[in-house]
Amino acid sequence: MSDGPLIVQSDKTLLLEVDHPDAPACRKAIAPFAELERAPEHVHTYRLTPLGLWNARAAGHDAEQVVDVLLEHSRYPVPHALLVDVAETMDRYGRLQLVDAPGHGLVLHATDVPVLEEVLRSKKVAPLVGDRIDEATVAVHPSERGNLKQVLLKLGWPAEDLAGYVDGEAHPIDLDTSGWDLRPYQAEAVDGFWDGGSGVVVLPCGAGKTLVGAGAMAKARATTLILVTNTVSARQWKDELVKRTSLTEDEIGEYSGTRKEVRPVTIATYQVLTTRRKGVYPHLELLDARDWGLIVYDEVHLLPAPIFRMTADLQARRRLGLTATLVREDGREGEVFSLIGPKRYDAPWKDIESQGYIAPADCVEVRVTLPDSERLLYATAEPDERYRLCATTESKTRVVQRVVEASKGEQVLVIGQYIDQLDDLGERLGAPVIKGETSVAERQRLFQAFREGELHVLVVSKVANFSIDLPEASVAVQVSGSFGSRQEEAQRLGRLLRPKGDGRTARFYTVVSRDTLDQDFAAHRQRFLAEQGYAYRILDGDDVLAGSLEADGA
Amino acid sequence: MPPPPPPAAGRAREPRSLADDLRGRGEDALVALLRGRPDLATPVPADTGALAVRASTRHSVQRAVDARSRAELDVLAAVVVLTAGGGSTGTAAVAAACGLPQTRTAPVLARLRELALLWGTPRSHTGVGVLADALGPHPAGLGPALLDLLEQTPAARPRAEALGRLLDVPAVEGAAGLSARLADPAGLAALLRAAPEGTRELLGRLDAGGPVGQVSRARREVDAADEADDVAPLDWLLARALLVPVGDSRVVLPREVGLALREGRVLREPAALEPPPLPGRPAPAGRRDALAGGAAAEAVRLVDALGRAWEQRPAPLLRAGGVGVRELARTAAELEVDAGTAALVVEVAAAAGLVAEDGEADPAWAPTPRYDAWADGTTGERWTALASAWAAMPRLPSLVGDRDDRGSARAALSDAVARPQAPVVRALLLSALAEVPDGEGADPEDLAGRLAWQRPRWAPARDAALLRVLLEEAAWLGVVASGALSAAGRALLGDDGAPGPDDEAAAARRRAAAAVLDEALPAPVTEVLLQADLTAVAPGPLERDLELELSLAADVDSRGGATVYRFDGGTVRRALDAGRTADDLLTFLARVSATPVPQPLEYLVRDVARRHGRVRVGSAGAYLRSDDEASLAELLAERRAAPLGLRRLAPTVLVARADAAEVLRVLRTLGLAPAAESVDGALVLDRPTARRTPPRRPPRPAPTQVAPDEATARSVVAALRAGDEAVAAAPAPPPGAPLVPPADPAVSLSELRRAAADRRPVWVGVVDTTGGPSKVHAQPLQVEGGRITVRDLTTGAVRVLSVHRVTGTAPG
Repeated sequence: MSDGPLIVQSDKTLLLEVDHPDAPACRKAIAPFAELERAPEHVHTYRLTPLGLWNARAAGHDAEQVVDVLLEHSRYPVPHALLVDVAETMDRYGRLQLVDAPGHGLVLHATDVPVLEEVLRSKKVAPLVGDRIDEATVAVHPSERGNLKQVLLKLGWPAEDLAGYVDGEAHPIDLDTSGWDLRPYQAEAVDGFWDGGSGVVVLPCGAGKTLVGAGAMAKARATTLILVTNTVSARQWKDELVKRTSLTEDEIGEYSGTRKEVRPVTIATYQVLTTRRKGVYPHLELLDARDWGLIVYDEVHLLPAPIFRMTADLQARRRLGLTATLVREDGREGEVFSLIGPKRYDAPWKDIESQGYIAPADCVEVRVTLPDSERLLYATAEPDERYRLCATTESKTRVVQRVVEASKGEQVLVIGQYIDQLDDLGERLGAPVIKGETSVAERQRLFQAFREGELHVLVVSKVANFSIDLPEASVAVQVSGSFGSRQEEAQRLGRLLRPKGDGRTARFYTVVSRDTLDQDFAAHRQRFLAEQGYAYRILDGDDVLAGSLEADGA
Repeated sequence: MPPPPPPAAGRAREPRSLADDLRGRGEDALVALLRGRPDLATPVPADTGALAVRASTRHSVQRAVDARSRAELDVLAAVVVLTAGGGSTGTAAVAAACGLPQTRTAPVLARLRELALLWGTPRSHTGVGVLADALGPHPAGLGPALLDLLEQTPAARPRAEALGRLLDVPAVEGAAGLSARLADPAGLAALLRAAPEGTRELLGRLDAGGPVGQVSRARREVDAADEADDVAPLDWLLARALLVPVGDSRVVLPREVGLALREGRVLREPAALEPPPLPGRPAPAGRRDALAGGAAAEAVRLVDALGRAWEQRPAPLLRAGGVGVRELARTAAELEVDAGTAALVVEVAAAAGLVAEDGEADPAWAPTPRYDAWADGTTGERWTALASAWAAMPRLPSLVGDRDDRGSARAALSDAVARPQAPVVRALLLSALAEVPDGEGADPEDLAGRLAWQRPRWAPARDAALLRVLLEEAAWLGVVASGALSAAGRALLGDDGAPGPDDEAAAARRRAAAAVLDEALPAPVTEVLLQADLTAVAPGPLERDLELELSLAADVDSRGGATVYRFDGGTVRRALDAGRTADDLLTFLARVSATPVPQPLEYLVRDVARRHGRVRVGSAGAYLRSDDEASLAELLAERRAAPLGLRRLAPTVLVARADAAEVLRVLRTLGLAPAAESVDGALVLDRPTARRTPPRRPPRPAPTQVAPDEATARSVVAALRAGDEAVAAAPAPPPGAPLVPPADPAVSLSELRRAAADRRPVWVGVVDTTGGPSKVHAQPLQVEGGRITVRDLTTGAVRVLSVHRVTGTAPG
């Protein structure tokens, strides 16, 4: 029996013992085909999924390699059924190929005719394909390229898209690398994307995804459409591009609720694209407004459903997805795979942290015992009011105040869900509040003041969850959230992970009410953070009020 | 017929019946017979004569014939065809009929004689009476003789006569002459020279596909004189009685024509004396045993989990027997397997005697005391118990959930799943697998081919679906992996793969197999890795005690080589409920963890413990209540009441550790006048007790399924010998009545037929309804359909004797 670091479980999880001397090599070997699910301190859990295996196929790995890796590193016999399943699943990718056939245009070509017969019998495939050209080939209308890929994925026969891309309208873009350079992993990500054609780059928050986008644009040297989550994020992209590339302000347009500029590089928000009037999407034409050579999707795990539909029509253009996680809480990972493309690069959070590119973080949960009066109020509240009640108790507010006081000298963000609570906190802490109704200009001014150290405490609502660059924030206090969303947790933590000038450890406090829903939701988040490998401690609210922000010697 | 000589002289002469033959056989030969045909030994026959009768019954012969291999059946068919006219056949003739040298057929003949399907001497062979019937109407694919066919279809007689003329058979030789001439390949060849094109092919097709062909208008008019070129081959053959119509739509190839087509051999192809080879593909032993080891450990774990599930909540017994679909689904969910696997788990557990009906008023299935002993064994020991029980169990768990003839689902552990043939097919399968060389594996198709060769006449052996199911069972248990026996499986089953009788050798094999498996399985680990995400990872199989304790405090998240446990409030509470304190748990965790207990886990345990027990529930033997607080206080202080373990819960309530009867007794001795309260108020223990059935014997396979072991067979033979001596010592028959030696029924019948034809009186030995033998001096009148009509020469009355009551005949 070998003494490998990997244990292959029959439920298709892979357990990697991280302290094992061969663990780094094993991690490297399994990363292409297994998704890291949990990374707590001793044993990391990876999962084999069809998408993961197909991602590996798309990256040029075959079933034999995967099986060999499992057998080589596994400590115990690998369940036979699992090996068979891996081989069968991987074998399904690429039996069907989308290719550009001379004289016929876009065709679906099968290397295995029965598979083609099988999928052509599907009612969903029939309307998407044209005439049969020969036994193994059927014509496909270019506009159905995306839909067909989506349907084939659902049928379990993902097609390999070899039909190539249009170059788009050329536009010179270069990286302006005076005084900085792409980090090695960023460069690898750009190359991985470019070699693959289209696909998704997975990097943790704070790891510089914008620069990967810029790098990709410099490779494409073509007009680019960038889709981002909100206006503030759009402005940050613009600033970053002006700073890091040869592009000037005039070459970059913003297409948002307030401005509708179409320029060689255009940054549009998801929201404006998905605005619907009388059942139509008036801003959809933006997608065809220019002959785009590259489309960048920021935060691809948040991509709204209508954009998927629009993306289905853009299959001839290069697409780059950027995200911190492939996990979508709506389960649309398959659409990301088929419409944007397979995963092209992935670097675990912890690896990048250990290279010093993102700040380490220390997560602390503060449990506040509610006084009897508040407990009684909570116990008798209507079910739909309960979370709000326990999330916004006076006892919590006092603890938050104490935590902020104790963090004097740090840049502190207080993050919450409920505006009343935030306003109240803002007043007590003497700090400005950024919420949905705050104007973009005002938001930018406050963020700028925070970045420059004029402001030390900022109270923000969920508007700040995404894509706002606040590198100097070193302490975050979370007072309420949207029901334990893991994604939100990742994003909020991401605010803190930009590297600090002095290499300090960021602190992430979550204040929860004991024995309430708040604590249940916090348990989800705790699990998520611990699984991500962050040190996680639990403190009692009373201890915090008494002055201690360190663990009670446990 | 001369009176039979004493048995001791039997070896030197030709036996005149099967009984005679058997009497002449040595002890070893009889032991081999009894082991080869287990149904003969139970119940023990009275003497050799009775043994011969039993060995000649239709049922027993059919059973023995169905258990023969392709080679044995071919040789049997040759003997049946060669002796169709009565009498015996020689070894050389059999070899020629098989198209093989004598050296190859002789061992097969010897084996068939050993099994008492043939009797005679090593050089001369006779089939037992019902052998031809048991083999079916077309032995070796040959049709009935022409004469028999003509009797069925008299209309074809003129054609046969025409054929006789064509073959120049002198009229004096009659039908027998025609038959002999027809079977001569040269004669047929000469005839066929004049046949229209396609005639030979047609004959060849008929011969290959069985002697019967389907045609339209079989009774058509044909004219042998029609020499036209365009006459159809079928008509040409019918016109010459080379094909005989039987009924309206079938034609039959007479046996003689078939023999001629086969150049005088009985078998079309030389008999296949060797089984088809089992082509192996590489299946490295290490990989095979690793797979099997994983499967074996999992099977053991599941059966253990079943015991733990059913001890808490026994599975109610259906009124029709067994465990219902819903109950099985619940068990499957509890074991985290599909329903099919759950059925296999419960069936194997029951076969091993680990679960049984508890015999309560509301009967349910629960673990037996044997389960406790089993659970204490090593994985290897536990596995061998399961694997041996599986091999011998006359049940087919894969049937569970299928619909039976009446459309109701077959319940697990019910009679609807019983299949007596299952252990036989398993044994065949395992012995076929045992022949696969080490390091190779066989494909299911090849195994199916092998089984079909071994038992061509037995449907279960030809059932590829059944075979697949049994292979799956074997793979699930880890007896088989990669198409070969695992090392442990081979050690358990012995070299021939067949599970033998349960003797000392079998116990030794079980110990060896357990050792092999324990050696192959990873050593149990004693440490787990605790993590801040509230999981514990056991990087290998945990020691059982550790595993029990850990599964109390955490749920299993993922299973396999390692086990991932997850703690949450509910699981910690469960451990606290079971009587652990927070400190117990944390001490336990600190002891089993290789690293410090993570702070969030410690916090969780303490936090749950803090809330645990706000409502307190305890157990007590009895309670005492009184409005008089003073007298309760007095009792608490009373030294003589100390053994009762009194404790004050409230000013007016005490509890006692002792039970109510004891409390009452002690209080009375103290001079108090306590009053008992009804049991309704008594507290019950919080933890359910683990249910056990009363001691149960594990189910045993029916005795006829398993060959008797050597010792049993020898004792049966000794009993037979004793019976024979008793018969020999029986008082002489009344004067005038000769000794009627027992004879094979077929022999007796042919004697009676001949006597009826020759109008000759005979002595008939008969057994009356009470089993008492008697002799009748009679004139047989008619022998038909198992009934013999005789005129009793003593009384003059006409009697009808049943053939099964006739023990033998003697000339009278």
